[in-house]
Amino acid sequence: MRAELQLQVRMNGKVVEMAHWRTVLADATGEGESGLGGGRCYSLRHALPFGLALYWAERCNQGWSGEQAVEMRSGVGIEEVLHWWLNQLDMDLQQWRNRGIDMLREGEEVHASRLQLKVEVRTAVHAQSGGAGQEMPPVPWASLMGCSLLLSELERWLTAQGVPCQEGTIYTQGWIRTLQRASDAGQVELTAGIRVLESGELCCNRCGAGEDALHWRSCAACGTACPYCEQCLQLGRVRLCSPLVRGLPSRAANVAQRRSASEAAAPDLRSWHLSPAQQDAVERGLQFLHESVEDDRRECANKGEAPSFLIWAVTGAGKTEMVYPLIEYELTRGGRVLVAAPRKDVVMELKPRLQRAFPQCRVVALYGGSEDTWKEGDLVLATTHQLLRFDRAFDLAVIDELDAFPYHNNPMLHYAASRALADDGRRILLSATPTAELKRAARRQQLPHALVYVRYHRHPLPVPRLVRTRPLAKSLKAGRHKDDSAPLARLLGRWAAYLRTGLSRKLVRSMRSSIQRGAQLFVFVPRIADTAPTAHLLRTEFPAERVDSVHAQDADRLEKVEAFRQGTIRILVTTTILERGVTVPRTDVYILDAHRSPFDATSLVQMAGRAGRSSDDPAGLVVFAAPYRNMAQVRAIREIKQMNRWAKRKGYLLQVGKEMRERE
Amino acid sequence: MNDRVQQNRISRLEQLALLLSKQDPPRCLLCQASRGRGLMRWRCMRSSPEAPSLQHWLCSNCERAVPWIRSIHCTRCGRGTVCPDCLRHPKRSFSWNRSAVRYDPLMREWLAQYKFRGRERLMPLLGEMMLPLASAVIDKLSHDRHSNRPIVLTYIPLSRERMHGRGFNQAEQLAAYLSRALQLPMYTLLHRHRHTEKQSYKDRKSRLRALRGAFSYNETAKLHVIQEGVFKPYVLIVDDVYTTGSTLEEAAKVIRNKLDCDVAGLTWARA
Ligand SMILES: [Zn+2]
Ligand SMILES: [Zn+2]
Ligand SMILES: [Zn+2]
Ligand SMILES: [Zn+2]
Ligand SMILES: [Zn+2]
Repeated sequence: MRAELQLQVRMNGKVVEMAHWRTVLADATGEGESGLGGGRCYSLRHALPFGLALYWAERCNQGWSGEQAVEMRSGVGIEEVLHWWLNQLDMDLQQWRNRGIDMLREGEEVHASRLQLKVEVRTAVHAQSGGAGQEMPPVPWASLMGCSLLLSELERWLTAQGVPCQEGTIYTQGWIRTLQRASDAGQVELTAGIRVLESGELCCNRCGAGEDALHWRSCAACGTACPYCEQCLQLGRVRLCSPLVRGLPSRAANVAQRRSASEAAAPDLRSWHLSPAQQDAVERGLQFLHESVEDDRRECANKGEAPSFLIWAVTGAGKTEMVYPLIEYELTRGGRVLVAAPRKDVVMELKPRLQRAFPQCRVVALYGGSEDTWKEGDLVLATTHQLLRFDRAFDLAVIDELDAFPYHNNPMLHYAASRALADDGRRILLSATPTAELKRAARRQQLPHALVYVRYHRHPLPVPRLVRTRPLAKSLKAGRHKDDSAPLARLLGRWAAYLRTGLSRKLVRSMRSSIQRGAQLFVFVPRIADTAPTAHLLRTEFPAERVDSVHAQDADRLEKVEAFRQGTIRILVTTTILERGVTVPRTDVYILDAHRSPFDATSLVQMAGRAGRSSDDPAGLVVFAAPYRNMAQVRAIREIKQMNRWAKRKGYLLQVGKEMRERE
Repeated sequence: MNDRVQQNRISRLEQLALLLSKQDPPRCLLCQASRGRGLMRWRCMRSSPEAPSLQHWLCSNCERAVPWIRSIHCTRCGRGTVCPDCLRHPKRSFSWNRSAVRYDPLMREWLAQYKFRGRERLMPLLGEMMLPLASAVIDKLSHDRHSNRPIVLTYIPLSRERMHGRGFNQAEQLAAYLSRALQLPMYTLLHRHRHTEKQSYKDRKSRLRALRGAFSYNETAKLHVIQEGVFKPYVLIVDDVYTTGSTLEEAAKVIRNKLDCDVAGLTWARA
């Protein structure tokens, strides 16, 4: 879409009272001056790609309040000042044109005739296409609050809201006018899809990608060279000329609903049935929410980070239960709450639990293919990628495992998580394995935090055992090799078992005893390619049990995980995808090739955390099987032992039993 | 031949350098797997002799998975198998159609990424996939009896709304790519009027009905090549997918109404 820049100058006698650039969408016609609401209206000759027009509007607005405004008061004609700005703009546009052409040349993929970057008046692009005169249906803009949608997404949103909007018509003049009106009335805000920064660099406003991810192509929608963002393509294409429509809260509703912190009563913790350790943490969290409303805001705004509170809880501590009172506190204040989880399975599992906990509020779960996608909610559960659809929407964000897989080393999701938060929003970070950075900040008291050392059932964490085996690849090879020599195996009779499997005998013996005690087995391997062969190997070893394997790209993933939960699958071979979220009462955990990446201390702790989750079977077995021990394994074990020690010292443990000492 | 061996050796050296350097290896455009680490990429293992340039973008797995149409069963529509469609409609406005690949789920996914998600970076890849076919077709045409017949490219246009929504026309981009690579003139011969809804959702009959009258001839196209030529020109219509041929049929009909020419189709995939 293209936009025109208009300068609106209101004259009050001879004194200029207000000068103000605004962006008006392309349907505002005419060059030069025309009357508009008592002032005079200058518009630039050129319609620009939307993002560029917005950039100029912002820049001019800033400049206007500075020296130019002063000069104007001292008697400089408005035309003169305007002229100065126009020259400035011309120069920049010239630069822009050259730059666009350079970009296209580098790419060499655009037809030669497209090389001219035309910035000129064509009467609004959409003027001829239909829907100009017709009455547009009313739109419930208020329920768009906080969302930030592309026009193509807006179309689907409108359809979901029951507003008749045919496919493709959103780009026609009728709808563009409607948008313009909503924007004038302060119901929506139009922000640029790709922003031009002060330095002249570009960045994607939705996912924060820099110029590396932006690719220049000639664009039919704005008729110029126009970059698009490749990083966030999966949610629709963002271009320089595509506006993001953001719903604004209506002022009155906001003030009425939002009660100040002092008014909001602290929730009754007894109703949530927390363990003593949990209760301590929750109280500190509530204190943080209570205090951070007023004081920290300004301080943190300077730092550019929302005020955060870290709940560092061991695996199985009942993180979700601890979050309930905090969510309740924010909801009673009239705020909107986001719960961001790394994976779809986790979101799907959380939704019914939260809906049960907060029956009076609208709980919405967002993930790829969710049916709630275009619904409005007070409590939004989202996978991390869905966060890209929000802009300054939430007052409280609960972010589960910020360091876990999709966030880890992914600046896009970090950007999205902070963008989804309102200007005065707060964050609660939940983690069993915080990054070194977070730990350091917590230790230095820069990050308010609460530590939960003990599991919900108040038994110590199972300490992993190191078992020396040969590398998995060798085991697999040996297994396959022996499979071929069936006649030899028959000849050897019962001794053939030793040949048939490549797994180390020690490991097999341990697994057999696990099965005999009635546990289910979680077997982790480092690579997807290893899952199926390992499952095959285990199947030959334990023919009586159901063995299956699952990985991220598995189509039947959800069914298999469900079957494991039900107990029909006895041994599940998997990769790190199931390192969190899946909790089965009686499980033993075997980590094969524990020395290999991507297993690191963090994921080892997480995987070890799958064992001994229920109070019926608190002492699960965890085995690190590897040809040698490395830093990751040692660190994981050290961390687990440390947590147990702290829990014991604080007196949270039920029984500091013999088991634990034996293990150590 | 020696030159090529030499070239190969250099590229292997480069690969070795890449292996030793800590730089990220180039990634496959489609599956993000790293490629170029394997030193053992012998030429005999190269899976697509059709388009060796694909290895600039793809890993060997993706390259091997491309379902090339190697032998043509139906000379009319270029399908690899028998097709009832062509038997049902023996008379058509276009002479023939040729497609580079079969439209299997993988190709569907690739096209969806490019066309619907708007990953325009895939365009040169798809263009490159069409190139061997296109150049073979052009060679054949110019070696035929009427060797002086001019050959021009055109494409299936998009409606205005669709164009604004999507920002580009995949058929136009492919045509432009071929036109540049083969140095053939390209013209916009057609306009699309009606905003037809997504074709894939419709059954055959309603699709045909929706298409009727969708195209009109672009009177402003300056066809000097065509007008100056003494011989009947060959117009090749470029499109992404050939499904039933109804789009191509409709477009060919409109062109032949206005222009004395032969019309044929060049498509990237054959459903
Ligand atoms: Zn339009
Ligand atoms: Zn982006
Ligand atoms: Zn554009
Ligand atoms: Zn690939
Ligand atoms: Zn056929």
